[in-house]
Amino acid sequence: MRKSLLIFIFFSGCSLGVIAQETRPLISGDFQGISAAEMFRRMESATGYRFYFDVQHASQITVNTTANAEPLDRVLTKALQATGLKFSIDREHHVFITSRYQVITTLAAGYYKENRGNIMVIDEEAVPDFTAETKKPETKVSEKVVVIGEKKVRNKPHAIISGYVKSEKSGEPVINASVFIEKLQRGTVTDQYGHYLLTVPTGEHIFSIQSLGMQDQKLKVIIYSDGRMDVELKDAVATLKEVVVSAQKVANVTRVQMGLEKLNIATIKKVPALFGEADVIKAVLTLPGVKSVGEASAGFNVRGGSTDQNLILLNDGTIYNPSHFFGMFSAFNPEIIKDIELYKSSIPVKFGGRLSSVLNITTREGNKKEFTGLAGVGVITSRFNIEGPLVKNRTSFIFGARTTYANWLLKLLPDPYDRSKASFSDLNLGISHHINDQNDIYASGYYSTDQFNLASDTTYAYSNRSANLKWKHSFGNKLTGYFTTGFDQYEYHVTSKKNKINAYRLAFDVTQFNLKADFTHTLNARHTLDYGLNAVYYKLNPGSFTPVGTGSLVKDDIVSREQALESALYLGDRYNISQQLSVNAGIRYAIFNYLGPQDVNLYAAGVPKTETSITGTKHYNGGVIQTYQAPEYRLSVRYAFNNTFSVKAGYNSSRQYIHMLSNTTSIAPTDIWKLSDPNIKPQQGDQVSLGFYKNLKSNTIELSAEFYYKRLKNYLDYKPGATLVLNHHIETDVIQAAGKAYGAELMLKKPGGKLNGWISYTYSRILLKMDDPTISELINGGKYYPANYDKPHDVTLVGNYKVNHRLSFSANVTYSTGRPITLPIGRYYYAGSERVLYSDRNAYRIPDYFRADVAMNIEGNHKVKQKTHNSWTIGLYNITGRKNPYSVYFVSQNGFVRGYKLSIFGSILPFINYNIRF
Amino acid sequence: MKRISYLFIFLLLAVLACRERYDINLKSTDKVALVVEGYLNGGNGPTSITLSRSYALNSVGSPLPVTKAQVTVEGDNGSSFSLTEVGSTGRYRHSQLTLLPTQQYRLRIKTQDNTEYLSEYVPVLSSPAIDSINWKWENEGIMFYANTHDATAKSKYYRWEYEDTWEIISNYSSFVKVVDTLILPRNFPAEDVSHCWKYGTSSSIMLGTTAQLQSDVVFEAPLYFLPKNIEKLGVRYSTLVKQQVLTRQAYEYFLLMKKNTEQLGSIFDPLPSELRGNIRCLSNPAQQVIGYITAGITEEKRIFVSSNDLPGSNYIFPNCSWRLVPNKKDSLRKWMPALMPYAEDLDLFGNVVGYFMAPLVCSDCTARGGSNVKPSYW
Repeated sequence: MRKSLLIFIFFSGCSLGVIAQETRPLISGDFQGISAAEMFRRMESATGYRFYFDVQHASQITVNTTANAEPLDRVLTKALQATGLKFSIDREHHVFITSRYQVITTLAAGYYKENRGNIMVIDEEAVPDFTAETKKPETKVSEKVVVIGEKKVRNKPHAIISGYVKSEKSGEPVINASVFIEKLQRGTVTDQYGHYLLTVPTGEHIFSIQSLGMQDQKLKVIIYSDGRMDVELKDAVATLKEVVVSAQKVANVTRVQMGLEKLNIATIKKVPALFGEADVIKAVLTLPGVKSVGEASAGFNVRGGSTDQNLILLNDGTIYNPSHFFGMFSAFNPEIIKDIELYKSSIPVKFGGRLSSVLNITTREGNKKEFTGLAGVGVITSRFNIEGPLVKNRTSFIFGARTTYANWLLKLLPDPYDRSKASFSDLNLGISHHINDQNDIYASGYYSTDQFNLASDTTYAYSNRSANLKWKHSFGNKLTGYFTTGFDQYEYHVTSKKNKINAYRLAFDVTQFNLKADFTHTLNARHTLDYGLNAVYYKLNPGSFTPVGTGSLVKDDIVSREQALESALYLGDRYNISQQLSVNAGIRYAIFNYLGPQDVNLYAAGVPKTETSITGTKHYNGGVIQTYQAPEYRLSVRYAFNNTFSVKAGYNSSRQYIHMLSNTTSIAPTDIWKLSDPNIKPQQGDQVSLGFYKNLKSNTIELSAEFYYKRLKNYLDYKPGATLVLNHHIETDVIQAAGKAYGAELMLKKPGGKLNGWISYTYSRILLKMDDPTISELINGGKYYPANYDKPHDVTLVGNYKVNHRLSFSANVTYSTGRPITLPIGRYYYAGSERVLYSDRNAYRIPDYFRADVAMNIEGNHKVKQKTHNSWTIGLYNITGRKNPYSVYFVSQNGFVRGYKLSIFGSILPFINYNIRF
Repeated sequence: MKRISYLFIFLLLAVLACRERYDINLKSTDKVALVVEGYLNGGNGPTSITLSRSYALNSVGSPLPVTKAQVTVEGDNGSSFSLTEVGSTGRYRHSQLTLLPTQQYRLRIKTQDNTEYLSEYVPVLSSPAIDSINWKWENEGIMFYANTHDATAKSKYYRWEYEDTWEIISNYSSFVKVVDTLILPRNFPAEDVSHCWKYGTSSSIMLGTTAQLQSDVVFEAPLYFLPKNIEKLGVRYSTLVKQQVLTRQAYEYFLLMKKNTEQLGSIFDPLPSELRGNIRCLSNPAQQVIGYITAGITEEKRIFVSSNDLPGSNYIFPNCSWRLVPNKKDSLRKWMPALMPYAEDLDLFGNVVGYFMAPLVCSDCTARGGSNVKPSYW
């Protein structure tokens, strides 16, 4: 028997009474051939009693009765006799209409054992289990009645309601669930702990609680004063009938936030992926405004930002290299991810330090009720995860691991590729502990590692590590604080041992220690404040080159360590001015201190920074060498014309103090990061955006159009032939360029239904310009040139068709303009060979990109009680077999110039994946 | 599992093999660069500088030589040497420069249209001796390596070039030659075309540095690779490796040129970028000049590789089936010049009744581009 299937009744004190003694008002009227709903409405106006019923259901039921000054209860009994509807009336003059079972408005004797403050639960003995016989649990408003607060304290027009939304099955918090009051057009979403907080006028409301992958809940709530309401949602998988809820999917219209994209793991898994590996980053790439340079590229570009301008957070940990296997897979295990949020334009004030976007990846919390797990086998990886309670209903863990077994397969390849090796793995561990209603503790750890060599004796290896601890504390109903500490680390090393004299190890690492205090403070119905303090201490080893083995003559070359402190103080206000107009305004003041010990190169003023213009070196023992500080502004405004149409505008500014140095097309495993220092200024960016949001067909279709214009300052670009690794004076090889990006993103989305998915069109440009007058040789003569990832047109379609609960088909079609490349403009003859002559940077484009993928998902049977559940994913990647060019290049071979087109996947790639859940 | 493994190989091959020829029509540019290649030889022997122009990407043909220019080498002590053009080839030569190691030199070029170009001053760098050139059998071919060291630890940046020579042997020995319409016996040894030697030069830029090492020791710096079963490795192969010491700037220039023009095509390609050498156009600084003038004294070393030393090379010049053709005018005319006679077929009485015929390249190694004069070092 599941407690969670009970009807909850929250009420004040012990105000339940007995119905028998009361005299009911008398009813007269003709209720012939009308719907039950109509009858209830008429009775409502005649008696002043409040009727609670499922409108949809009651509208379909016809009643046939007449009454002539008869008591209400008798008329109802008569009218509902043949309909299967039951009714009950409580002391408060509420009439509850239910199907099949009658709501018992009194408690069974001695039922105060489950009393939790002002919340009471009707004992399961008093109310029969609905699901046991019906097997068809449906969401009906009228069956859930919640009373919050104390009736006596009805002195305020508004009340603050808070609580947790949890999964009924596992007890895990439901993240990003929308808690919404349709009539008021007001709502909120739960945070990553499933917690929500909402200010509502006292009185009666219908709360809609929704989350993707969960059954929707509608609760009729009577609010007297501040109080708490916890909600448990059922997994949607358990239903055998499609749950189509449309009226409430209005979040895109009503939320103030712009340029926010959310995907839950169920959606991510539906996007056909390479080798069938559900891939977070590749799913993000299907969203409007997000691009990458090509298939084997680790990063992504958001609205003209470079790959290092995205803050990628996994449970608050910063991930520096989000990819495995040359960028073909992302470094996140899909089985333990819950959902992702991508902020493209109005970045919440609590985030900072990157210019373009924040990708917030949240993993699931472990099942607090029972042990479950999953094992999966794919072409490239196998994975395993397990979760369960450590202390039932209080402490849970989740552990996930993924690894490849490609090495032995690579050995089957012909010489010389048989000496290739490639492997990767990642581990996740999460522990959550519920101390009491005020305190929760979360610990999470992440480790990913990659190692490969491709037919060479040079081994590349890199690794991400992250661990953090978070304490969540509620200071009463209105103020919640989150205190986080942890560290994140990224390191790579390259070793080569073939030539014993030159055997070397090249290494790089960056570590950051984080300390955060974030507060959410609900002042009143109109104002919710977010404020807090973040501090990050960076320790960075820019590069070390050391000998390996005894015979090596390599001399140590170590670029001195860098350290810095980035602190920020922020304050934001979510301000509901009126039902139509809402504003999120915030300011974030960030201070960056570049710390000693360090030797800083000094350059002659007014001339380009070159090795010859170094005038000296200044040594600092410690302390602050350079400080950069500036306020960053975050503003977004929403005006909702009605329930289905809104206009939003936003302004966003930010600064970035740590930069990735890369002069390759995509993120290479040997790219290094660099802190801003006296010679390298922080990158700056700001963006204005405007968006229009319209929902059609009872909110089953969402339309949006967003426009933006962005300026970039001190964007890092490179001089021709720049050396980035082991460079002791990196500032001589980089140029800080200015940039501008602008674009439009149109999207049509159908979030639910048998056929669901989205189609998006993006127009976007990103242009850079080197306009530093002190530099003699400007790229493209100081004129604007497109960045590598400037792909103006992009059309993406992601669709899923559910044939039934066990079979679904999905497709992904994408087209984009080819990316710019620098092509030769002529040939010349030198050193015994014809060679190509390059000129303007990125003046040409590779051919356009087009790809279509399909996948079929087959679920095993859905019997709840069986020991294991199986599922298969079978699909075809690049179904047209189009040889999409990754690059076009010209090389001199045997004395002649030859042009080549390189495609990463030039054929149809089939894939198959098997998962077993236990 | 087997199915999965095949699938994976298929996938990996798809990854590795997806490279195809690509020719696009790019607009030809009017931006023509001057290309200056050469080395101021401070040792014994001539110095030659080649001047040419860059040309359109899709044009056919060879680079346009820049003729009738005045090319002068200037020392910072005021010395000056004029180079003279060899024919109308764009090659300017001086038989013997006398460069002082204490001085720096530069190159001045004045083209026919009176545009003047001037290089930066460059030092005269002497190369240390090459310790050895060795080769290894790897990846179904041979890889050559250079070994050298500089006890004074000043050299650090090296560039290598080579001139190679290889012996070829005709599939059939030729005893007759065709002169006009007559078939005449060959005079031996002068007209022996069964053994020839072919010559080549390096076509890639080979560089090495010891800047990251504690001592200036080059150990097995990879030079170039020859795959098995090519003509060069058919009989006997020789390479003369020349070693030159560069300044760091020159090294970086050539490295960038190499990266831009030879080493593209991987997933993590650096972006090709513009080249700026050490030669400038005086009247128009925006005019692009390709090339980096260097000066010094080179060292060289020759090694030989015999096909017998190779574990798995077996080159046979292809498509050489022979045919016996009766000694009749009509028959011979029918087959020539596709097939050419290389030996007589005699009857018992010594009459020429027919000719053994094969494509000329099968019996005459000079037709394969070789010279039948044995080089002095062979």
